[in-house]
Order: sequence, then C-alpha cells, then structure tokens
Amino acid sequence: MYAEPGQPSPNSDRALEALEARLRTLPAPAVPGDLEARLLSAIPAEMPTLEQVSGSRRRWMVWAGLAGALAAACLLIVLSWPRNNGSKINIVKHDEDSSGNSDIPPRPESRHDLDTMSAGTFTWPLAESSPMLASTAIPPDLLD
Amino acid sequence: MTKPDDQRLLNDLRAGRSEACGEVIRGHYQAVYRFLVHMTRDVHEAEDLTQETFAAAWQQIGAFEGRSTLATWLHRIAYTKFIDARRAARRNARLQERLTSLQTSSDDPSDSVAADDESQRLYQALHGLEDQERTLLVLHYLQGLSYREMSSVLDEPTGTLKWRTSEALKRLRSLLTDEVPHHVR
Repeated sequence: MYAEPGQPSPNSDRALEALEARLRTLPAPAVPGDLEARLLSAIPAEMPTLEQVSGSRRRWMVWAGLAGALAAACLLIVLSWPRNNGSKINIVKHDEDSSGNSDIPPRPESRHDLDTMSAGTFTWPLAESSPMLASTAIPPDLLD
Repeated sequence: MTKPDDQRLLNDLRAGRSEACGEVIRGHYQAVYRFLVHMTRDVHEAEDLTQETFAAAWQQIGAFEGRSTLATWLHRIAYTKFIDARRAARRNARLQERLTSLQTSSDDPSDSVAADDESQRLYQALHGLEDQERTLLVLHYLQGLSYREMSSVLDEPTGTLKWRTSEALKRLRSLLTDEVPHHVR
C-alpha cells in the first residue's frame, strides 16, 4: 500500500516514534567529578532572604515613583508656562516707536474711528418708485 | 506547581539556610550540566555556565515565587545563561574562532558518551540542528521536561512548542537519513 503524495506515510510516523524512543534512551554525557565540589564551594555565606529582596524591590519602586513625580511636575510647569509674554512686549515696543519721532506716520484718527465704529444699517439714497417698464424693442427707423 | 520537596527546600532557602543550597545542587546540577553540554557542545563552557547558573540562582532565590518546579526554574536560568554566552560569542570574533576550534577538538561531549555507533550518529545529527531546534529536542526528550515545563523555560505557548518540537524531530530524522551513504539506500 502506497501513501498518497503529500501525505505522511504510516512508516514515517513509526520512524518518528522510533526516533523519539532513541532520543529518550540516549546515554547522557558524563558529568565531571569535581563539578559538585566546585558548586558547593561557591555557595555564598549569606543568602539573600525574601525580606532583603522585597526590601530592595520596594526601594527601587520608591525611586521610580520619585522620578515619575519629578517628571510629571516638570511637564506641568512646561505646559502651564505663559506662552504670549514675549509677543506682548513686542506690541508695547511698537506703540512706543509709533508715538515717537519715527518716519512712520501716525495712524489716522478717522481710520481708527472706522475700525472701532459699529456698522449701521445701509439705506439706499434714492427712493424706490414703482418699477419702470421700458421697451427693449429697437425702433424701426434705426434698423435702416 | 512545586513538589513537596521543592516547597520545603524553597522555605529553607528563603529563610537564608545555606545548607539547603547543597541539597539543591546535589539534586539538580547534573541535569543542568547535561542540558548545557547539549546546548554548547563544549564541556568546558558547560561547566562554566553551570557555575554561573547556580550563582545566579542564589542571587535570585528570594524572588522565586515557586510557580514552577526548581528544576524548571534552574533550566530557565541555564537557558538564559546559554543565550547570553552565545550573544557574547557573536560579539567577540576571537572567542567565536576559539569555540569553533573547541567544537572540533576532543572536548566534544559526544566523545564522553559511552557510545555505540548509533548513539554517536544521533548525537552528531542533534548537534547539526539549529540552536532553537536542538533546545526543544534536548529539553523534551533528553531532559524529560513536559511541554508545560518547556513553556516556563522558553516563555512560549505549549501549542507552539508542540508543533516546533515535532518539526525539529522531522528535521533530525532527515539529517539522519541524509547521512546514510547512497549505495546503502
């Protein structure tokens, strides 16, 4: 019996199972005899206890909290800093210049009035009569 | 889940009793060393990394919450040490050359295996795999870790690990069949 093309053959499953079994029973590499002694001699005299670890973790969290608060304060200061201070100074300076003896002519008062005056309702100066009917036909003598 | 023995050891370790460290070493150093031998393919590097693994374990023992077994936790540290060593080796070209020469020297762990030809061939094929593929096969078949434990070591979902292990096994088989001389086939 042949397997369909692209389908795993039943033998391949069996081969994989055999390979799994071989891997599981593969002889382990030898462990150096002095490794255990070396590891035992490297045990620290004082082990970090849970309290010490959690203490250092707490300290780290306090520092992180302080740094975060400082960063937030800096951000708030930057955001709430008045931004138009500089431009106000410029305007004042410009007004002083124009009132002094500079070459720039003073702003006309009338124009200033027009700027400030509220616009009234517009009324047409001519009285409107009934609509005049005019013939648009061309007089016959003009056609000659 | 921790075994009852693990829980008792963990309590002793957390209380700072260094005698418990000896028990942990005796119980786990061989498995850690063998895992690292399979990964590094260099007995000297494996010895160094085993020592580094336990040194790191003593430093981190207070933070170990006991959600996995001690064996799984130690394998995870060992795997991290192996990855760090590989990164360092890649950065250091001279060390890379040394590693290459070591791999071809008599320090090859497959030499230390009491070996029939079949086992030698299997070891060589295993060492011919990519690091990631070899990790899966070594952890599952040689170290005897379940997929759930492997998930704790490698930080990957069990479903993905199952699939990748099966793919690695197929690749190992293809490496073994490729080795067979053509006239034999």
